[in-house]
Amino acid sequence: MIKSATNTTAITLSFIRWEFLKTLFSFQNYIAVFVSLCVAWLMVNGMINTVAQNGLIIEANPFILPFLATLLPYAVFLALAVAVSLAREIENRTFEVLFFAPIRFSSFVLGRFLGQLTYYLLALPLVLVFFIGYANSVNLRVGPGFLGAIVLSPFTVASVVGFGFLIAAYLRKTRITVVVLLALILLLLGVQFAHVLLPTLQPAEADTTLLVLTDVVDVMYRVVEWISPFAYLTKGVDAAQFGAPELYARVVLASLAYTILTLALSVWVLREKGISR
Amino acid sequence: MKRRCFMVCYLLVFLFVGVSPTMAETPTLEQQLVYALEVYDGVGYTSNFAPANEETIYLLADHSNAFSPRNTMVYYWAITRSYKADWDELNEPVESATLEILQGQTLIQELPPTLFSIVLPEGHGSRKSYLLWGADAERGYPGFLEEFREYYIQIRDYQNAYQEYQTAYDEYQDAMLDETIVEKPNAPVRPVEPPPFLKVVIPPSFGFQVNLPEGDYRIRLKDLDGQIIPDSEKKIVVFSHRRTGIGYKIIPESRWTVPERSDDPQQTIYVMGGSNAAIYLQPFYEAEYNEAYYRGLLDTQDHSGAADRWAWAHMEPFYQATMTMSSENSTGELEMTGEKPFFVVQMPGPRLGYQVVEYDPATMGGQRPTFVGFEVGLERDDRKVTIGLVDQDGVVVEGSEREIRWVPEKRPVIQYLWLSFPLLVGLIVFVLRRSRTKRS
Repeated sequence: MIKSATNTTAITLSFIRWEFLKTLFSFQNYIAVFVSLCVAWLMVNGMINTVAQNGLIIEANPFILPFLATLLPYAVFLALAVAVSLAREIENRTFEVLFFAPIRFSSFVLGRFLGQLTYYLLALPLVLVFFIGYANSVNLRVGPGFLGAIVLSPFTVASVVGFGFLIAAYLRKTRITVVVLLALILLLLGVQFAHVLLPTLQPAEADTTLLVLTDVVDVMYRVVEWISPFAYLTKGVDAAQFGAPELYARVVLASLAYTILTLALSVWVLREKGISR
Repeated sequence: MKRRCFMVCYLLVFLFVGVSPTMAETPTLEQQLVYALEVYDGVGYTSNFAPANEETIYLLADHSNAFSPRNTMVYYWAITRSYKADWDELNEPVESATLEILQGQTLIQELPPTLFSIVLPEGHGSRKSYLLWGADAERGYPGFLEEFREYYIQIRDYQNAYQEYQTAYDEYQDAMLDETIVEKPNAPVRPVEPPPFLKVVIPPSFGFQVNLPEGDYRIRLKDLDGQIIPDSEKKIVVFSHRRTGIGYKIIPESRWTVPERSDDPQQTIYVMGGSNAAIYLQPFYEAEYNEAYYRGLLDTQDHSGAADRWAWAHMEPFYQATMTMSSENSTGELEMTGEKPFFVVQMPGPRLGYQVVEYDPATMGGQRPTFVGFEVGLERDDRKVTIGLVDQDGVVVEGSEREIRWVPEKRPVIQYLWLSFPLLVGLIVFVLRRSRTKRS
């Protein structure tokens, strides 16, 4: 029993070690971080230009949106990467070969998942150094909302990766997995953005379509706020901004529970559907 | 021919029948038991009504609100997507003995109908108002009529005095121009006009005084026989603020007609370095409420607010405070600024532009100041300044602090270093790995 557990841990750790080293020595990852930071830099620069044109701006968190612009593509990329690699392994039957060895589904899922997470955990210090250094050079404030987002972001990325894993484990075909996963992520993000954006639109004339759309989005959001990992991130940022540590801790725990649930479901689905194509 | 005549007649009938209902369309009226409400909104009382289809009424905790159940005619108004009451058609108080308030299944209050009246001390143009209940309401309206009558007497006396003054002034002018009069009379004293009478008191009527702590409740009406009146049951959500604070209306000197607002104490005001302009700040009280609840309080039929969002509600202006300013360069001493009146002077000629100057009653007599506020000059060496308010007792006003930060006019070159930091790290890792691989 103990030997089996030690074996499982060793396999999981070897998965993580392999992914970690691959990430650390791959120059493309540094380029990916640089490109995503360029987007953030452009956004902050745009804001500074607005100060110049407008005379002043009032902002609580100048770095939240740029940070989300960095985080979201990264999280989606990692979810897609993990989903595609799993679906491809099932399609190419390398998954079957892998399980000729005494490997448990749980150590496979956990190893792959934590390996993907190291991508983000390695990128995060680079992102943090850029934002703090840049904020200091242009005299922008790094507020508690931003720091809250930074701390919460690995949990969000973990949830997104877990979500991607679950979709791939269920659908098992690369093309369908990519299409469904992208469509779901876009839908979840779209509903969330629309939920924030639509009530702020005030058309000059009564617009029934807009009113109906707002109602529909409101109803959809009630579901999305539970199933979208990004919804937990915005709740956490709000909690950090407001200075509610209890609420923030609850959001972190909810993200963690979400990740555990999606991974457990992935293991269950893989076990139920078996290793063959 | 017959067929053509028929077609023309058909067309005419179609046109008239088709057009006339649209032109004469009136909404369908339906008799309903509704609650006419006077709910406290943080400053005064907002008039509102809850039609039969609205199940929930929102109230602020620990404030009196007036519930007046009435039978009226209700119709749907598609333009605003809301129900309207036709009070002129029917406005009949519901004969009820008590209003029951329940929390869960427990009856916690039984309220009798009480006479109440609304007082608007600064008139209809102001948001300030309060309620009078019972004997106070009974006395309030006749008292108001008496005050109003006294005001009219004062106005009549003033007009008489003014007429006398005019006559005396004419005589005075004649005397001044008359060269035969050696000893000139003193100028008559102009009578002082009584201050305007703004106060309004609404005639009293019966209602239920609902004042509850935070929580969820239900209300229902019982008739004189102790029976529950149908359609009288509603949910009551009583809520309180999440935060209170001081908001600022920020008037930039460069565009004083388009002010900005800072509601959240976490917000920072960013201005451009090298600016020689100023900003003017006008503080006001504010409270942060659940958006859905507060919008529901202002209008029972407004469902546009989201239950997971918070909104700042602006209350009254915050007067009689002093603004403090502290910067990194200051040696612990606070700069103090008082609120001052300002006047906007338009630039002469066709060129657009104006100048904000401090109001001087001596030179600008006859004109009123454009606005009153705290002036913060932006021509400073600081990178960051923290402003706040202290009240008359010298106590710092909670939630009044804000940071003003100067964004550099010329972007520093070091920003590119921060941007390329991931590439530098990647390069170092790459080189180290390469050298290690070569060595091994």
